[in-house]
Amino acid sequence: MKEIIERVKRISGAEVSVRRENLIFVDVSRDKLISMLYDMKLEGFNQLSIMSAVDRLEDNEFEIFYVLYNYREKINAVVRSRIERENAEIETAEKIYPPAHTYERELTEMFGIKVLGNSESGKPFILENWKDKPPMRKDFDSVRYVNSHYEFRHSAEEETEGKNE
Amino acid sequence: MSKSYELFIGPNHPGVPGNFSLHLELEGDTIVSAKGDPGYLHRAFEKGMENRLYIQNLALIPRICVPEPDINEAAYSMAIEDLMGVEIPERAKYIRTIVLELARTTAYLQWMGGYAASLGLYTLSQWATGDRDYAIDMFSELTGARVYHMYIWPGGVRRDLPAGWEDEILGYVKYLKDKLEDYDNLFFKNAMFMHRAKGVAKITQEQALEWGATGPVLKATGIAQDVRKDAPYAAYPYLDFDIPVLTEGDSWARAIIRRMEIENALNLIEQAVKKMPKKGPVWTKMPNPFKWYVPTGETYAKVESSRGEHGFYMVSDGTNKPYRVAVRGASMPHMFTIAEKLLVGSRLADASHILLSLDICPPEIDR
Amino acid sequence: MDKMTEEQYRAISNMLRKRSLWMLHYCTGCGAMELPPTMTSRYDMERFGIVPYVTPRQADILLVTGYVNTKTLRRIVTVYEQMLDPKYVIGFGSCPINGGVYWDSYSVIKQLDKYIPVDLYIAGCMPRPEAIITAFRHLMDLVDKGKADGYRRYKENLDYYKKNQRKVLG
Repeated sequence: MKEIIERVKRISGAEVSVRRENLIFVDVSRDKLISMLYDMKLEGFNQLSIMSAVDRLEDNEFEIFYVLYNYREKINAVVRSRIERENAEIETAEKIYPPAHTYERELTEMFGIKVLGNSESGKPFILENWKDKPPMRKDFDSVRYVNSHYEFRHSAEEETEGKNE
Repeated sequence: MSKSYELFIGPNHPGVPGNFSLHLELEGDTIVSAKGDPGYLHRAFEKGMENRLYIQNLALIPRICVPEPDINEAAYSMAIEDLMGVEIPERAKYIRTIVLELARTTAYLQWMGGYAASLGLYTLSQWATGDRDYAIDMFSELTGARVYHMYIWPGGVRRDLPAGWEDEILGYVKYLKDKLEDYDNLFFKNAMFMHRAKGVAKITQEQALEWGATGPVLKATGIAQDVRKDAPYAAYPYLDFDIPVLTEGDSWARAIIRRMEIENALNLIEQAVKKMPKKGPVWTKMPNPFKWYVPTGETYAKVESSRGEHGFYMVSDGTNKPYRVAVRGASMPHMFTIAEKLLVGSRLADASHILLSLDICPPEIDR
Repeated sequence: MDKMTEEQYRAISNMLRKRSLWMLHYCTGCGAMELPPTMTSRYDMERFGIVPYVTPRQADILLVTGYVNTKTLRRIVTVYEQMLDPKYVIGFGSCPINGGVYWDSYSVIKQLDKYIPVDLYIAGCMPRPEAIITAFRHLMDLVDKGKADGYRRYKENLDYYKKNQRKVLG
């Protein structure tokens, strides 16, 4: 077992599970999330690859994950935390990892999770004029949305107002 | 007293790399603030992947990154193989390496054409597009399609090499290596290019690490970070290559790094063809697609694309459809964290040059 | 000198027009990957008189390369209305026909010719450069016979198109 994994296990609040020798998962409770990210950065995990959420509908929770990378020890660590689904909100991590600013903007738009401290969270980012519920949630049915907003062509000779060759 | 005015370098513009828009505020000729406006290519991949079987997703994912579709197939297959605990045969590893390096070469040739066109040299795009077409011919003979191959799939590759393909690919490698000297004389050693690109859009090593850079953007500042060496996959543990590194960190250094990476890719293809086992299976048998249940778990698989690190974070819940797939493209931090800061203070004529020098790929940002 | 009839004038102008169609250089979707090989010297389309041009005010063909987002559709309608008559639209790939691979996506439109009139479709995903050149030859044929009249249909059925656009774009 690498020495860096032992050091991560000693951070307060961390529950570590090892998937491969270069990928570990660190579960942490919601109130210790920002301090865990700060401690991981001090241990050398100074690059953020991606940050997003998984919608765990049966448990009525969102699972936020941050994929971090340590170049010196060549190891990836995924920091995960569960938050409630009703009125979901998290604090911003952009002061620790600047790329998180953009990932949090996408998170608010796609999942509806509020991010406190991020000045642009809540403004339209990728979608334009979107009035329905946040589309990446599991209870948004995209096939039903498509059938109510668009129409499919039924045959090659169908006469709409324009002709096809 | 000058007032600032707003200018949109909008989606209908040959200077942006794809369907992408920039909102700029200028004072005279100098840019005061810049904001990127994505979303013109949003197709809801991550939602669509949850509605399809694991094997049906193979038709969907090459379209995530249009210039270089094989990296998506490779990362997706590696994530499924990790969750299921499947090992791929030796010959398949070498074939995957050859396909990925050939895709890297076509992506760099495409990039060279666009980059030179943003500086005003259109001859290079004619040459580069022509040479790229010979590589596309190789692909169409091997996989049946020119652009979206759907060739690398979980368990190995779809079919074995046709007869005579190995000699053809070695002939193409030799042809392109001789041609690289012409490219150097036209562009990379051209005094106008050096004058235009040296000192422009410079980032230091600390800034590159802090702002989330990977790939040639990071290698141009002096850090030799490459997924092929740090977390090797396919046949890279058996092959012999170096990571090119420079220290200047400006547009010139990034262009020279990409030029050196083309040579690297050609050498890797030659080595892989010579070291490959001559016979053997190319696919580990996988279950019936309707009964293909992936065990519950999460994993993160990454490959080195021509722009940086390209990763798939996959969550599965034991059924035959994925529960959540998150795609990490290298262009998201490059555009919003790096380019928005670099554009401030530069001149309007350099706006398109900076975007292409960081190699922003809009389909990766919007997914 | 005889006075030319309306028909003769139209026939001559169609014959000259078909040899100099300018294409708008707007890469709207993933089909734009096959445009550089078509424009450069291997599959050269410039020998037919078709060149890419950047401003819509002086272009004749709008090539909708691939799928269309709702965000892009607003810009395509603006660009289409900025082009001057006569103008032609070509739908590229299988996505403008019936949604293509993105049939269940909430942000991709399914039928392009509900929003702007389309003269020609090219099937494939993606179409090869030879298919693109065949389509351009077909379009030149239609222009010669005077049958490519999408722009006239747009003005006649403006209410129909505007109603559909408003339903999707809000």
